[in-house]
Amino acid sequence: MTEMITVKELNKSFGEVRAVRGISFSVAQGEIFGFLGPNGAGKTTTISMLSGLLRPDSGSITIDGMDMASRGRDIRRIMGVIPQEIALYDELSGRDNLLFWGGLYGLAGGDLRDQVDRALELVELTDRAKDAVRTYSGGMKRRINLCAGLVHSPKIILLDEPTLGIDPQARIRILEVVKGLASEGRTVIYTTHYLEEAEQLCDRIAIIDEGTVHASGTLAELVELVGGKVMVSVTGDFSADEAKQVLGEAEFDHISDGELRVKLLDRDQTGRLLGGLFSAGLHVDGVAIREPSLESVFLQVTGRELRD
Amino acid sequence: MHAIWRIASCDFRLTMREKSAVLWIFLMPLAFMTFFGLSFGGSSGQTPKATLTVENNDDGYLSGDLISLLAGENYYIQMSDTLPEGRDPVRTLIIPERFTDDVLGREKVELALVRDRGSNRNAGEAASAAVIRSIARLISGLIEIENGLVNEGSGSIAVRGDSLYGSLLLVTREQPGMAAVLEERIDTMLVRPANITVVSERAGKGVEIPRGFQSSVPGSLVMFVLMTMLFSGSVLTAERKDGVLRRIGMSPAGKGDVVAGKLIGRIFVAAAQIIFLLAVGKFLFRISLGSSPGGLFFLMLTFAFAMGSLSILFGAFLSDPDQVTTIGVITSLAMSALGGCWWPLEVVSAPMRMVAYCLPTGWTINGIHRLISFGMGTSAVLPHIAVLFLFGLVFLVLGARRLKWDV
Ligand SMILES: Nc1ncnc2c1ncn2[C@@H]1O[C@H](COP(=O)(O)OP(=O)(O)OP(=O)(O)O)[C@@H](O)[C@H]1O
Ligand SMILES: [Mg+2]
Repeated sequence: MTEMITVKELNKSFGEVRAVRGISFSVAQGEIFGFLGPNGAGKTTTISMLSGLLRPDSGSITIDGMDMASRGRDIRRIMGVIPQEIALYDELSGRDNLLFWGGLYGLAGGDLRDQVDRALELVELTDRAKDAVRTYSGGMKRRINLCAGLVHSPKIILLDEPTLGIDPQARIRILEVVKGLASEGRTVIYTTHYLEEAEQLCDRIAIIDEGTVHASGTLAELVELVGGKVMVSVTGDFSADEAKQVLGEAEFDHISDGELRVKLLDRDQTGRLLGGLFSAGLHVDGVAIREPSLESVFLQVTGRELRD
Repeated sequence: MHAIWRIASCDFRLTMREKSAVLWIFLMPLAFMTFFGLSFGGSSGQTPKATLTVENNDDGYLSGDLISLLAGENYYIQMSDTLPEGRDPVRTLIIPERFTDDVLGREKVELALVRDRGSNRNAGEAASAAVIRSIARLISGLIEIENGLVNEGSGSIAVRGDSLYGSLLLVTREQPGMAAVLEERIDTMLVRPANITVVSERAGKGVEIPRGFQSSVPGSLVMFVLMTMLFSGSVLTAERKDGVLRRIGMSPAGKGDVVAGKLIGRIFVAAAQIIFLLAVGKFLFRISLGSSPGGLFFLMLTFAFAMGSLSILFGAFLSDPDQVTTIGVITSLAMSALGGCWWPLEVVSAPMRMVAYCLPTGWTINGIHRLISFGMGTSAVLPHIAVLFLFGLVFLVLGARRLKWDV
């Protein structure tokens, strides 16, 4: 596998805020690499550095064998970036937008028009191509936003939360498109804070929070990290000490007054756990059982839940 | 290059398809030209009555003839001894003692035209020209009369007029005892049209304070090109804000391409506006565009470059589009008023005129008047073009250095 993207020890601060702290990773050609992280994790900052928009404070970025510091413009030529916000000319039609953005990458004439038509078909917007983007629905805007970064057939595609705030149908369409792009041999970096998206779409995932990659690998590798254990969360009217006394030997992930998380080898052990609590007369309000999943991995490596 | 062109043409199209922009770029200036043109004296080419104060120390009759000739020059003649209290003369013609006697006695005569510091240069030149014209007519009359007298066996009068500001030298030969004859013949001469016309070189096709459409067309042209350029600054800020500029920054286009593209797009808009408004001026308001319309267009384009650069500076420094619009309005109104777009610079005081020449608008207005009102060639506005270009360059460098992809 050829490495398309290699990032080493990337750092970026905005004044006091250390947005990205020593991020390293590499992505192979044709791979979909996911960045999973909550708001403010540093996803957009990383994408901005990868696209040459922001200069890192330190660290190196090599893309398709080219160093970002010296060959930024050449890199940008083979890269398509889909920004988090809908960054388009509202007043222009979808088609005119694509003609403009494609044109910026040096396409012209019939070649440009063909590519625009192809991109419009890809996101199923051919029918509305003549209307001003202003008149599009949220999902359509997302789709045209995606397609504006694809007109020039980039080898490398950076997508920054491309499904933010849209209905499930439009999301499915976008995920299909991204899968298709990777199957054509394009390299994709995909940031999201949706666990399911990362699970379904990405070949490898980096869990990022507070500017740091906490864990990375394939889904299977990440699940392995939590030891393939079931996570049981219990909430109720008990103190941390009471619970500890009752469940002495259990493997606690977290314990505080009224809340505890325990790792179990399989879910059948949940009954015994709850039985112990009940028989000690502790009041239980709620129980949640999580199969080994990205969610539990996330919880474990970052110590907090990722909420949609 | 490719990216520059893409950005420029996209910006141009975006501006042109906006209805409010078209209103401000093409229709409002028309309304202003009409309104100000009519309220500043209607038809073009009509010379205003400027005041010339005359201090007459002569007790002969020739000075009176000179004064009536001057009055015929479309001057309002104010005698210095009847000057209303508290009013200072702007420019004064001093007729020396013994003017009549010396002229007729072939002595050297000096007429002084004194300008107040605050008086306008162009108007001053117009006054000098008028004085010279009047004297020439007086002299031509004298020559004619004397020729008649020569035929009757008398001498001749030699004439030499020189510098624009200075004095006039009259040399006559002794003709004793002719006063009565002369006086009578001069009176007859004065009721006939002149047969000598002096045209001073600087004065060209009549130095006059531009008024009517001749003033309102250039004034509105400059003001609205300025507004068009400065309003475009808010678009740049908006693009920084809504992420469009960031997205452009992620393409192969560099910051230099973006600045160049944005600037060229604005200059395209200005070019369309300038061509439209000059055509309207020429064919609708029937003003003269002078002898070098090409130079006029280029001067305006340089002005658009300077103000387009200023808009990029505003767009780069401010982070709220509304703020850019507000500052754009204030700046364009102030620069229009101070630069002479609303009223001729000829009517403002000297310090205000100094202010005008610190502004790109002042330079542009002055340049336009040189070209269309004074009929000068493009070479006369090369300094103006150079100054405007420098203004633009400074704004551009500051703006480009400051410009960020986002807010
Ligand atoms: N231009 C900037 N100036 C100052 N701080 C910034 C800037 N851009 C990002 N930050 C800060 O850096 C941190 C990371 O921000 P970033 O936008 O990279 O997060 P993100 O993972 O993309 O979040 P989200 O999911 O909300 O888009 C945040 O604390 C943010 O406030
Ligand atoms: Mg983000």
